[in-house]
Amino acid sequence: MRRLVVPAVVIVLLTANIDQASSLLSSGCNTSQHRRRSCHHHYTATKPSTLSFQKQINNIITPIPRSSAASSSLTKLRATTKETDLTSLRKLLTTATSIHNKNLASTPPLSQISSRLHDLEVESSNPSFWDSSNSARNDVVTKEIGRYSRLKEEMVLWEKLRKDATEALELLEELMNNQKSDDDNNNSENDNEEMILLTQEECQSSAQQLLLLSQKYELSTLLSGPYDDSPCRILLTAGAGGTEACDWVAMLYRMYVRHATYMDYTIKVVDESAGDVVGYKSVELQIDGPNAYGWFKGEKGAHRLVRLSPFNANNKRQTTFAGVDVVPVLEEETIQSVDIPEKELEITTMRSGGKGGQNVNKVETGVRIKHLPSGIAVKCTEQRTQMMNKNLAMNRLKAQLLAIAQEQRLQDINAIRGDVVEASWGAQIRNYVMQPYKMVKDGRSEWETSDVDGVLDGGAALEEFVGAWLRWMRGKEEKEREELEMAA
Amino acid sequence: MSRQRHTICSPTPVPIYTRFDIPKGKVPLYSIYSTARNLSSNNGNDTSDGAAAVKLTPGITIQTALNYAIQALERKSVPEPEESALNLLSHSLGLCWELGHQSVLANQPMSEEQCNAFQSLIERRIHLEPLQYIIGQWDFHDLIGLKIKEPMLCPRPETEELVEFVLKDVSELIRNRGSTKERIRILDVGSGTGAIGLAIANRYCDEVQVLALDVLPEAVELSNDNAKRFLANHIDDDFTNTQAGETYKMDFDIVVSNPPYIPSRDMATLSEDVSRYESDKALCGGDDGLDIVRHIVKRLPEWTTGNCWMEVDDSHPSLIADWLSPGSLESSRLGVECVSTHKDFCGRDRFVKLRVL
Repeated sequence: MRRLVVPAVVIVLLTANIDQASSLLSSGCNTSQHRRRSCHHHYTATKPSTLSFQKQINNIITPIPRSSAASSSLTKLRATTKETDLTSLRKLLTTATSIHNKNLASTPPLSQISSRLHDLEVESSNPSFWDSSNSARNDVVTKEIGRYSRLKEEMVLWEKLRKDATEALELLEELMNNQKSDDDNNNSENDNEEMILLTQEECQSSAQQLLLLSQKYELSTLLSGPYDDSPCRILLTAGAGGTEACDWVAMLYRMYVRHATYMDYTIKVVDESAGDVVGYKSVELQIDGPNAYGWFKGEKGAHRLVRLSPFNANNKRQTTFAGVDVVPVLEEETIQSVDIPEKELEITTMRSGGKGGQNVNKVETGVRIKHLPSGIAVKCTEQRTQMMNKNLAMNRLKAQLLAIAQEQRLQDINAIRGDVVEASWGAQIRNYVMQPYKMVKDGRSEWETSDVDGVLDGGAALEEFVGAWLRWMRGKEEKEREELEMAA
Repeated sequence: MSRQRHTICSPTPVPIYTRFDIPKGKVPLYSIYSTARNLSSNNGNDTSDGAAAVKLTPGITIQTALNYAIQALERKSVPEPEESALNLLSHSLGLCWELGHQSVLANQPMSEEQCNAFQSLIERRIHLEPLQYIIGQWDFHDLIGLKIKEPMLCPRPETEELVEFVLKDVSELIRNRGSTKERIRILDVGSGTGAIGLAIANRYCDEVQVLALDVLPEAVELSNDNAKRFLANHIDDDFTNTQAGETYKMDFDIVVSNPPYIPSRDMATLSEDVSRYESDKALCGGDDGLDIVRHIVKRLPEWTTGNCWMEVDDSHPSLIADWLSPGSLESSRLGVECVSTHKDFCGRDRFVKLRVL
């Protein structure tokens, strides 16, 4: 008896999760396919209540007496349970395959990928390919090979899972039909029952896995901007507020480090400037991994914290801000195409006063570059020579300009205006309230949660915020594209 | 931590730390910091030059040793105490102190050799010896680990900018020379460590030929050392003789120089870490600082028919632009005119570009 109950519970829970998950993605996607203007309603994602499936569980888990007298009612109940299982399995499979189909629509066919991979591998097997002079092309090709092989593996896996799940479902239906006809004839076959359970489990696990993988892939295609696949640098700066602000930066630092680890990115701390009492005035991190910039670019802006400050004499409720800036680390190829005229740049060093030149022997060679038209300033103090610092600073400046141009959909970096840049950096994107109620709310996607500690731990809770923002952004982009088409 | 009070109050200045019993093993940072501060406030003017000012006990953590060293340097008003301590620590550990490794390295205990090594390096820095001399090398432009030895001038960041100007000219010459494979010939006057010439040769090793001159035999030796280090297969060993400059033909495409340019009146204002260690001959350019520059300008027409780039004192570019302005009497007499002047990244007039008429 218990054996029957357990799978039922598991299936029901999963079904509820799938409904919840699919309502976030599929409904939005379906609507966009019909291209209705009112579709923006679907993009305000709010967490559905979790009460409904609890009720479903209570309905199904009823203690079933083990007595032959009640066997007929038992059989009927068993049939119903199984049919519910079957329906829910069918539903699961349909959801999974629909997302799979959507993904297939946006990827090139497997044959094309295989032939492209083959071409790339032929190119890389050429001995002169690995010369240092060819390193730029080298990097590009290696990256492409990695990307295509990953894609090919995934697509092959999806196919396999889909086939397994579909076949298992058909087998299950057949078995259940046999079972039903046996039951009607009052034959009981325990072997069949075991087969059914096994097939059920197999179908379920394949379908579930297909669903998860397809959803994950779909999410990663949301990260399809031109620079999304680059590593990124995150710069955290404390706003006004002294110790409390520095502590807030330390909290965000911890959150991002933990989140990057959770998402399997590699992190490197590039620069830290400790606060006077506690925490940090500023921290700079470098995050490496596939789609690092794409994932973290939504974090750019001002994060606001409201809590009873432990550093305030009266333990007052205080509001502090921390600024987060995310910049992609672009490859040489991309950056070289950008040319900024000298007169638009103001290059200064960190050495101040005195005569300089032969009169002074200082090893501090930090360089600060300011782009006058847009007001963006970068500084680099990491390297030992002034020239390396200057080159790095120039690269970072160009990367930042390219990223902003892309964000604001400008054709040219010359069109970046300083006031627009200021506005975007100061925009409050997320509120973290700890007293008197606990809530984290993202101002753009309207996603909110009361699990402040979970978000600050950088785990799945933060992942949901980023996912919600990405979908909101895509929705916004699609809406704009539609409006453009409507206008045309 | 025990402290023998009577030594602190004794009439003759006593180095603080040698009287200090520091327990072995990790010492909490805060307590050392506070005690050091307390002591330093009691003894504002003490510590004769001879005695050790920093004593590190084996077993203290790297972070503690670093803080100790920074404080010792600060107390002695050594310029750039933090950068000095960091670089010397990395050198004594044989490691690179990157921020990413800081948290891993900070709590590691230091061995006796490391403590002794670090201590002696800090000692030398307290005497204001330039970091480049203590470590024996420094990075310049693309050259990682350029060997530097007393009393040759330690390459300055402004000189990197000079190299960049020359490199731009070289790339243009390479573009314009077309299909001929003739090398661009460059003369580096006053090579010192060989930095300028080697940086150029390093970037364009197959396209240029560099000849470097210096009056000091030690400079010639150091330049050759560095040349072997960076361009092992490309150097001509026949360079050791300073007279050899006479046997090479003199039609260079570009002349570059970072001559001694400090006016005599400014020599007294130099901070001790420059004046005490780096050679006067590499620094002073006479009364107005232009002695060597004038000498170079005089000989420029016999060396080249092209351009000459020089790094000079911030008072010089305007003077030179006047003196050698196109069409002026001096310019026609000497056969050299000033094409342009440029500022460095600190915003000071620093570079001049001359042309042979």
